[in-house]
Amino acid sequence: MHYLDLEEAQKLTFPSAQSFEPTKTTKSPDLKAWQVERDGAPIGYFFVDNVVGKHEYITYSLGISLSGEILRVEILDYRETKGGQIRDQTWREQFVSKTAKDPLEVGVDIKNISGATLSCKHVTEGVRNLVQLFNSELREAS
Amino acid sequence: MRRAQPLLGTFFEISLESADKDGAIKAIDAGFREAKRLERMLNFYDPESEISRLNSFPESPRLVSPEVLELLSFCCELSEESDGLFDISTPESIRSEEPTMLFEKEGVTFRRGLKVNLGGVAKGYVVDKVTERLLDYPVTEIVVNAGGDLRVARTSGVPVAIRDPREPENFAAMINLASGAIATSSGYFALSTLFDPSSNSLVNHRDSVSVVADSCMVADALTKIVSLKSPIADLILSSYDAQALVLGAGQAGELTRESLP
Repeated sequence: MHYLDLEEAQKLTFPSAQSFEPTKTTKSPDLKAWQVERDGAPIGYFFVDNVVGKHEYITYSLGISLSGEILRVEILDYRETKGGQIRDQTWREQFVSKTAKDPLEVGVDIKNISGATLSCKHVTEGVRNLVQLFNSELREAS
Repeated sequence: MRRAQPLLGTFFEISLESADKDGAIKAIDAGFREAKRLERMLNFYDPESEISRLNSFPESPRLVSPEVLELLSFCCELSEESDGLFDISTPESIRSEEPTMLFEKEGVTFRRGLKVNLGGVAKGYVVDKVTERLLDYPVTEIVVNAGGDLRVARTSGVPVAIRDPREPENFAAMINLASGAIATSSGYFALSTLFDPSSNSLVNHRDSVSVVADSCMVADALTKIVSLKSPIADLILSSYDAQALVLGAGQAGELTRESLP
């Protein structure tokens, strides 16, 4: 499931920003990070990170203010790492009254799932790590 | 437009259609704000939340937000109706014959020794409240989904897939939901144990139980009762105008299905 493009996430997180300048940290040189600027001055930082759980692969973004406050976390992409098949077609359940009258079409795209899904623990941990990274490397710079 | 944020310990997703993109963003943002507002009130793990305050200061009335009142009242009502099968009190709560809580104009009073955790019903409740918030906006095809607890509104029919409990990366059932909610509870992905008040022990929970009801709060709460395989499950489902689908694995590993009531 694709939720947001990079530019959309940047705009949502920092609506008044004028530019996003790519930046690098020493501890995580591969991490996608940007210093966010308005009127030539930094107003915060924007990161895009991936977490891989046992069953899923998630791309999320984090916006942090100059004082280290978490501004916004957005999920950009959520992918389940395998499966996603509908096995046979005789199991279309008909619940009374709350379900729509029209029969389901074959090959319908699975966009909505009811089922104990995974916790967002990995994302929360990822966010925490990014905040720590910000505090140790980027905070002094601004 | 569809967006998700990590909230309530899971992925909280809002999906809707709007005549213009800005309108959609405005509505979705209002939805997430409402979810965060309620999360702050109901979070058992946050010592500052209203629920934690109630847990920490029993035996005296505390004024609470209308939402906390609404949710606690429902939980008490369902607990009574299910003869205690549905029970928000934590395992550490001291058992007592006294009524668990009083609702008066001065506020809510917890009896001595009571601690509650709304984890079994909070997600569904927040899904309902966020949906109601979204209805204030000129948007349609609303789907609010918090980790599988899902509510739809202003839709022409939304296909919802239910995972196969034997292989949860695949799907075993599909329903077409025009209105109302569905909540599914099961042990796949995370080993799940349920506390069964009748046997005073934890039970393993391998089947997948899905409940369709008018509200997600009810659907969420009723999955707990149906999962305990109680003979009164049929009665409770009927009295809340709800239905359940239980998926499991048979002796030969085949998929088993049961509809209730």
